[in-house]
Amino acid sequence: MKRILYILTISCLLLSCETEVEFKGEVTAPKLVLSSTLHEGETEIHAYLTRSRFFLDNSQYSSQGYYNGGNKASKEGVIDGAQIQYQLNSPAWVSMTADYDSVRNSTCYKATGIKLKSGDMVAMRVSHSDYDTISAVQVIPTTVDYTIVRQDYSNGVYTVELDLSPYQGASTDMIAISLSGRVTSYTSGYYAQSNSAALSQTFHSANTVFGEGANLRSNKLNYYPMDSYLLLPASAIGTSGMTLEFVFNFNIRPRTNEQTAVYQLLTEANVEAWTQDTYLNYSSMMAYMGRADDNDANSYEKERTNDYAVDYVEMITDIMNDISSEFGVESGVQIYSNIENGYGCLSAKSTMKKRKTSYVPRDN
Amino acid sequence: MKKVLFIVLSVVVSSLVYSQRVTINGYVADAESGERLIGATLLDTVSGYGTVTNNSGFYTLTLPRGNAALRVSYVGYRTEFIAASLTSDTLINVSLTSNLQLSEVTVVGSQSVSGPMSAQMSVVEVPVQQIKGIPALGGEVDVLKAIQLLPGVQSGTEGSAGVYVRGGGPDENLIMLDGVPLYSVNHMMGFFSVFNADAIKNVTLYKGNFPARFGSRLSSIIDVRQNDGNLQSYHGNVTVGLIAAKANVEGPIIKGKTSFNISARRTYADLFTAPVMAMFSSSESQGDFSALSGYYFYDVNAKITHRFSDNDKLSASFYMGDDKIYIRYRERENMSGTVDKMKMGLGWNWGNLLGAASWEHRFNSQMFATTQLSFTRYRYNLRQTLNATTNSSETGSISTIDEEMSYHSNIMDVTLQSNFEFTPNPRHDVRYGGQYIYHRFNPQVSSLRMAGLENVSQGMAIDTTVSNQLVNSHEVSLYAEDTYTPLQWLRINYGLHGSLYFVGGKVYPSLEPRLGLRALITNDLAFKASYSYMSQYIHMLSNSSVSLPTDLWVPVTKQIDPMRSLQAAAGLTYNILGQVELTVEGYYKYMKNLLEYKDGATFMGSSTGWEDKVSMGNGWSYGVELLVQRKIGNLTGWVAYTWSRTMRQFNREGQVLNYGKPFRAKYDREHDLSITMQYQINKRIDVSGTFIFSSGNWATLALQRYFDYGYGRRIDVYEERNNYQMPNYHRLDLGVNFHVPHHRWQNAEHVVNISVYNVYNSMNPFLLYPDEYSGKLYKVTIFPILPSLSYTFKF
Repeated sequence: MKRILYILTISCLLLSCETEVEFKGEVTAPKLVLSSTLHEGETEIHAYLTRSRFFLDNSQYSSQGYYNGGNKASKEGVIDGAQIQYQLNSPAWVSMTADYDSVRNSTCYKATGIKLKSGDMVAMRVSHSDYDTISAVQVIPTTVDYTIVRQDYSNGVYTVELDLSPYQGASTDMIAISLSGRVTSYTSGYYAQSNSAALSQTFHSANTVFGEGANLRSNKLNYYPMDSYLLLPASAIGTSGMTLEFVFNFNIRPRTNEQTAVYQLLTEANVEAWTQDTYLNYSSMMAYMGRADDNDANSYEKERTNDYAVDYVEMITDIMNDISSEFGVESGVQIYSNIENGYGCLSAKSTMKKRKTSYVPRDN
Repeated sequence: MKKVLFIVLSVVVSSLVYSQRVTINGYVADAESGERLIGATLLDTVSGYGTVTNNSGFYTLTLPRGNAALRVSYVGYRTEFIAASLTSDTLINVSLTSNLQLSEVTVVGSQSVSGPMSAQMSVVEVPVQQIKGIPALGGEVDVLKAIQLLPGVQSGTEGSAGVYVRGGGPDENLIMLDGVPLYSVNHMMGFFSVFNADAIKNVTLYKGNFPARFGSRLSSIIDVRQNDGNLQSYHGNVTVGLIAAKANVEGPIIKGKTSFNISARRTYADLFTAPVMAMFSSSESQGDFSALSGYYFYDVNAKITHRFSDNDKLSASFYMGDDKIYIRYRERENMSGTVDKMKMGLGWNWGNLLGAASWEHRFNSQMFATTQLSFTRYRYNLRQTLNATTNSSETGSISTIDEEMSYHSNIMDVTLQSNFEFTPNPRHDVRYGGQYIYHRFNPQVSSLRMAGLENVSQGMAIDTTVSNQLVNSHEVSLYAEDTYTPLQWLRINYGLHGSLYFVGGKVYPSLEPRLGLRALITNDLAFKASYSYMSQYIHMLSNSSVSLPTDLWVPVTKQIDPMRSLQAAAGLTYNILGQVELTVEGYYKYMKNLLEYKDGATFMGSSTGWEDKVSMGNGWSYGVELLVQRKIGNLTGWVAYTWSRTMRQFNREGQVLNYGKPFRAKYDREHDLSITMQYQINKRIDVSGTFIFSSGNWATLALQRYFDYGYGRRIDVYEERNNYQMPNYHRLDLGVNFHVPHHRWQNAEHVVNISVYNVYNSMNPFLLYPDEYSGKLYKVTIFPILPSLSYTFKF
């Protein structure tokens, strides 16, 4: 009986199969892709240019399925013969010059000898004989003002309070806040390194690494990378400003009970003003990269619950996502673009940085 | 003054006229089992008045004094003719003889609730016998899959039991078992529904023209009724198929008064997986190793009915069903004096529990009432345990881990409802009633218990439970409707459904007018039109087009408004020679506050902050439906065709999807054709077939790609949601039943069913994916040709 059941099961599995199907839709033409972020205060504009390809166009692959052309990042979508021009508060178009970007391993187009200020209007256009001309316009947003009003340390919890002044930008603009805490050990002996984020119950990780050394060591304890922005709509700041509180849970302890340590805390806060295009492109990109939850504007308001339980929920979420993926039901994410006739984004940001240092009481 | 006199005179004359009338009432039941029949038709051929039995098999009909000739008919039963001389209100119970008890196959006539005589439109009744005869996936007969074959109803992905009615979503259907909602109607990710056809007496689908007694959902009401059980003798059947085994027994507890009906079903899937796991554990084992895993589902339906008299009946209904996945793993290893032991278990189950007590009371010949107290709950549980010990004989150290994690979620309703039917005269058929529902949403509860010993000296222990806030809500509704027949050719059903929903300190009111009319063009041809306004206060959060156990039901909130719909429909119904019913309907439906998930949002297992992850928008659907249905005779079945279009638009500030432009719904299939036929060759053999053709589903394909140097990754460009239509779907299913009478027991028989799903092995697409290396597009088919075999013993 078992043998019969196996045969039937295997027969069914073999019969369910993949078959090629003819694509019956419109074969759309490739478009130019422009990516550039304008930073208030910068003296250069950098722009990156690529092209898209039709999703069934496999010309960059060899018949064996290998990528044809060396390093993928440096080759895919690279085009020659394009002309990129910009306007800065005037009707005159100025050409940008091609340069090599060793960090991104790609061609970069640069405009130099300028100084970008809040309120500047920048237009860009790209023309190429094989593609439609693309263009975009962006305005540098107004800088946000804020102060760090409080820093507390108690029972392993480090609190920073920011006071945001009313934001004068457009009502559709966004505020992005990035805060980093840094602890430096000034005693000979020990240091602790911890990466923890506790802005909301959906973000939590703790990883303690102990090290030992006689020299002064400086290690970042708590660092928010630039892609974990807390995004607030300008309307949330209101006309009278608002206070934000960030709580970091540190996990610091000396190696043994006899040894002690003193820590210096340095808070660095970056508050950026973004245009709506910048926000929409960033948030759609985060959703695309499966990080929609990280992008939750209200996450800082949510109450921390229990880390283990949250981890468990996330584990279940992962399982169900896997199941969902197996069924091919993941929906596509539309990446926001403000490029006319093309893809990509011309973004703009203004950044204000503030630092504050304090000492944490001796930890035993 | 003249006007006043005219009105007074009219009232007096009317009273005199009606004083010349009598009311007959009673029940229509199966002659052999006593099972009361829902939707049986009674027609007085003298006066032309007629009616249909309600969900309790009860009818009331007011006729002129004098002679009456009643024709009583029901699908699958021989029509009875009753001649009576009516002088006063009379109780007339009617017993109909099933065709199965007749020596010859007889063609019998029947009107239906959707026929030309009825004011109701957009309703379809599917006889359970027909449902049982439809060839099915794996041979497992499925009520919801039969409903998918009706016009205006779209199925979800291949093989799933999802129901999409007139452009609505799967959470917009109120699916009820004996009048009690079921929140999850799927087994095995939706490939099978929870309804065991052996336990079912009647299935009615309302897809528009909703009578005022129904509310709570936008798109459809699927009313499934269980058998009461045979009052006279014991009967049953046992079926063994490739996927499941099932049994049904019914009979009297007190003959003629109390009956029971119980059905149970269980799948065999775990019989496949357990030996496979055992095989792996034996081949890969280096130490002492064992593993066991499997999946199965089961369900149990039960009903007990007691009839105190013709005036009172009490019944209790019960349903319980679960899907369960289990994994058990055990390992013991001894290496260099260190003994490792590990035991791990995972249990995941989800399902419904439903109970209801109903009391039916006949006050008099004109008034009938039903009162029901019910409970329904859907829940899922996930529990994982881990127990590990490492014992080193060299160092003498022992370390242990003892963990238990669980996660569960549920929704529960307790409902009290009363419905009254009052027929004051032949021109009016009034229904009114009310309902109170207590909803309890308990979306997520996680708990963790951890006890660990590391080198004995350092220990840690955790025992904690965390849950989202329990949400209680209350729903109160009242309704009144009247089917008014001012003229012989004109019948109007009008009503009002009012409801209040209380949640989180806020009250959501809704007042929903309903209207339906029928104008007889001839005795067999009627024009019908209707209008319905509906509201829905709860949403189902789901990322998937297949039914997953983590789908969560949540109530409306301050941010998320109730969903609303307006639907208008018009059509013709034609009864051809009393045997074939032809219906053509056109409809337009507009839906407000529909939910779609924002790009990239996921709810899997988490309802926290769900309001921020959805967009609210609108949708509209319109189409034309054709149904040709024959319920009687040797050849039965239907041809259903739908042409429709369903669109969505999400353009509210901060909730924009698809750049605010309208887009097609995923299951917007322009053409949808299904042909379902059953033919009884003789008493021993019957054959059946189903052919389905539909336009393909819509998929979202990224037609362009580029490499983004800023983010250092490839980007797929989705220019538009649901921008590519998958290939057309078509398949043919065939089945044959062989009936062999038992050589010794009268009325007992063996039935062998052979059915083939997707006979010509059509490679229908389940999903599409591009292969970037080959530059080709591929489709995945999950159900190619699937033969099945089942054996049933009936007694």
